[in-house]
Amino acid sequence: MELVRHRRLSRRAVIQLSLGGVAASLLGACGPGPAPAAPAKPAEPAKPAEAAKPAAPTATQPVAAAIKPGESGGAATAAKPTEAAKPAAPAATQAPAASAKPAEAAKPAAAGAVKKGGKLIVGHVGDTSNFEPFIQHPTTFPFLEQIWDTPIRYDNEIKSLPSLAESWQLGQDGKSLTIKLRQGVKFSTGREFTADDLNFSVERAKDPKVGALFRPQADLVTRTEASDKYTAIWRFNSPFPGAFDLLARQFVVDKDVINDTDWKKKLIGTGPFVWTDWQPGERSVLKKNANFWDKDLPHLDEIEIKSFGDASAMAASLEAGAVDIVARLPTQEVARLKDNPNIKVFQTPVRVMYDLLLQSQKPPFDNKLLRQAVNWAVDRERFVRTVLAGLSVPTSQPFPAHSWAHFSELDKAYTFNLEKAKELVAKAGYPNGLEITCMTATARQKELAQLAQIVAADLEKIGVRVKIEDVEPAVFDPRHLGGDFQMATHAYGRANLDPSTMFRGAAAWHAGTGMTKFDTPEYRKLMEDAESSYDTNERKPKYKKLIEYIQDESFVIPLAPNPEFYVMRKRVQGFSSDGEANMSMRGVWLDG
Amino acid sequence: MADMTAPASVAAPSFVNRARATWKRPRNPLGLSMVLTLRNPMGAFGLGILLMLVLVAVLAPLLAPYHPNVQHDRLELQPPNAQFLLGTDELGRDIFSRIIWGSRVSLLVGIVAVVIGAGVGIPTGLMAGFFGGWIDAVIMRLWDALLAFPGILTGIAVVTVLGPGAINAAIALAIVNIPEFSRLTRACVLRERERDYVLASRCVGARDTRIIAMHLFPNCLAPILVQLSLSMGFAVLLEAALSFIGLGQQAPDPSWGSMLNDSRAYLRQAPWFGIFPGVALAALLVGLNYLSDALRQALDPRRINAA
Repeated sequence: MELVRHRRLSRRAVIQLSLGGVAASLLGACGPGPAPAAPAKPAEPAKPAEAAKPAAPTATQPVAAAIKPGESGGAATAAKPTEAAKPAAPAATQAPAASAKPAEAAKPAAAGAVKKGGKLIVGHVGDTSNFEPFIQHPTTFPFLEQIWDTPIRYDNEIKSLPSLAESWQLGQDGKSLTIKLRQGVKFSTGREFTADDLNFSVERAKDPKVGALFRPQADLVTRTEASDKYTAIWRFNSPFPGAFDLLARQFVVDKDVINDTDWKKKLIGTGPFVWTDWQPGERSVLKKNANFWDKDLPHLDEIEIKSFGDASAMAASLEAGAVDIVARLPTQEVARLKDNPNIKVFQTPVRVMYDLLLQSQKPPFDNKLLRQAVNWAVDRERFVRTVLAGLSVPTSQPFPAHSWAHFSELDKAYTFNLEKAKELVAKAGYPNGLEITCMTATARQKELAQLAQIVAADLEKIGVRVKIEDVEPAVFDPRHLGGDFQMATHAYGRANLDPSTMFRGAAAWHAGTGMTKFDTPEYRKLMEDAESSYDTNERKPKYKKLIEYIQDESFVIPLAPNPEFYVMRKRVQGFSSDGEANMSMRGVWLDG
Repeated sequence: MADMTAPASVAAPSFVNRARATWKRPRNPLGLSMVLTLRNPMGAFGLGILLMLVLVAVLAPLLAPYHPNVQHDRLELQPPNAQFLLGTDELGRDIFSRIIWGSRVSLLVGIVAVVIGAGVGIPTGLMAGFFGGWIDAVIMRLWDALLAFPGILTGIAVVTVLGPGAINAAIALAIVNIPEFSRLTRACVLRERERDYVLASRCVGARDTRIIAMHLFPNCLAPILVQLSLSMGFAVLLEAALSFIGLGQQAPDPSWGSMLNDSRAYLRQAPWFGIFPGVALAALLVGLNYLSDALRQALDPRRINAA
């Protein structure tokens, strides 16, 4: 009988394995069949204005749907508004007052057409495993913005819009920021939101135990005060040009409940939705917050966040109409879905850049010539073409094209040139080549592993043998942060924000404590110089110098922007993202 | 399965009769069953596939048109054509060459896992069965503990400790195999040791080691042989599963399991990428299963006695 049991097991397993993929996609396609996407739509007045609707979306929904490889979603122009929103001179800094009520501005065009009510279904890979809003764990991306609000918000082009803050002003010396808050804002529990809540939230972000992702920026706020109930004053030791990025990132939490050990009690904010239900591994449900400060928002009654085991099944569900919107699909899936007539693709200005990290303090990459050799030996064009499905642009500088710290003349400082790389390897003292290791993590992101294989194959051609270490995410992360590698494939974020925010906030770039451990007095000085003012025109040449220095040292090797897509059914209108990967549903409405 | 429970009186299948007619009956039962296995069409087919794959693995450098890791720029995800017989993968590598080289991993892991598994499992099983008492208790409880976890889970645990890689995967699978061999051997020894021939050899003064090695082991060989081929199929499959989750053969070197995993994202664009490694894996497993079926039929004591 022992034998019998065995044989059955292995046969069944054979079938499972060889048909696994097919079965998964079939299941994904047929499984959720009967679940109608929006069954509960109580108020759907068949308005005569319906006809006018199709023309309206332009206002609520920036149509970046057309994927242009060159220009990440009309982002080239997006750089300027960011600047404009950030006061050029410390003195005259009334908020972009003209757009004090931005939501209003966007609304009129679509006012007649917006349909209230309905349920939006968001697809998401994996289950929520961490409810702490400051950590910004990927599994919280679908709901963070819905529950917690921020003083200012970034729109799709990273323009500042007032939200909890109505206006803000920098002090004369550039070392303080006065934030005037909206009055009458209530937490979903009914308690009034005041300046104390904002200050508490910043102070909490500075606590290392919380593990806030934006702690490096929060740390620059040295003192917080409240001059009255609705006015917060933040003080800095030196000018803090990234302060607005912090304002957009600083979720305001309820100090009464946020440190509660019961996660259910923590989920209290001033955002447009409230958390109502969570079924582990299945779904989470959010309902409209009746206390939300903007009485016109949100349009939706309910949001359901559905958990999926893998991205292919999620993509299949989207095609079948069982899910309305998904994020973080593999580029290959996006390339396939973008031609589907029921689906539109929305691209945000590039946030994340792919790069190679070289451990600059340990042999062999403590040798600058060898680091430069790698920079010449990476075939960025091929990486973009094969792994990113041609939906990106290769570059050898740290910032993407829409950033003001992007200098087109530095784009091709390094190109694919194996001859040159080989020369440099020899010059670095390895005429007969050498052996190195490259760390990657398929389980974290498939693209990273494919990148490692491309780099390894090219380096092999010039006598550098690469052993690929494909490790688990649980091993990958600490080894990355601790600099325990020779070469690693990686992607860093925040390249869309103020350059100082990226250099301070992305661990790849920290001086000394960063992933590559690179640290020179010159690097620190160049970085500090460029942060000493709020004036973009003044800072620009300084950043150019810094980037040239980085390119020469080649400890982090930028390769190409990682295009980020939100893929949704055509009926989803008014979606926006916030400059990080969070999805904002407050303006979303369903067309049909 | 049906054969196993069939009454002994059922007439021997035609191939047995043919074997009897055309071959001089070998004197030892083991030799006879080998012959019977080969005369069984299923057995011959299984062995044929296995031999062919062994040949492919050994001759991989001669057979493969390209080096398995060579990336052909701008020829990514090509469908099967004259240049690339089975198409190319997402980095422009020849799938045909990768399948050929991947067979080395599958076979190596299968063989290593079975050899180590049997090498440890059979002696411990013999000891446990023959001596009984506390030796039996200790060994069997140890294997019970191992058996409490599903094979794939034990495999993952071991690979996590040793680190990913084809050889480590083989060791992990060997550990998974040990209890099966050990229990099977023990069960057989428990039955055999009460037989008269064991008593007889004891009477003439044979030492324990001699009884175990010369009498018990040969008489327990039949089920062990079947288990060998079954376990090998199981190990090949588990290796594919481990590679599939990134714990087996490491990139860029090919293995069928990791090729299947890589192909998942391209199933709709490039079905050949997933189909061909899957077919190769299926062929090997079918071959091994046919072989073990045939072996089992041939080694069935009722058959042997009938013959």
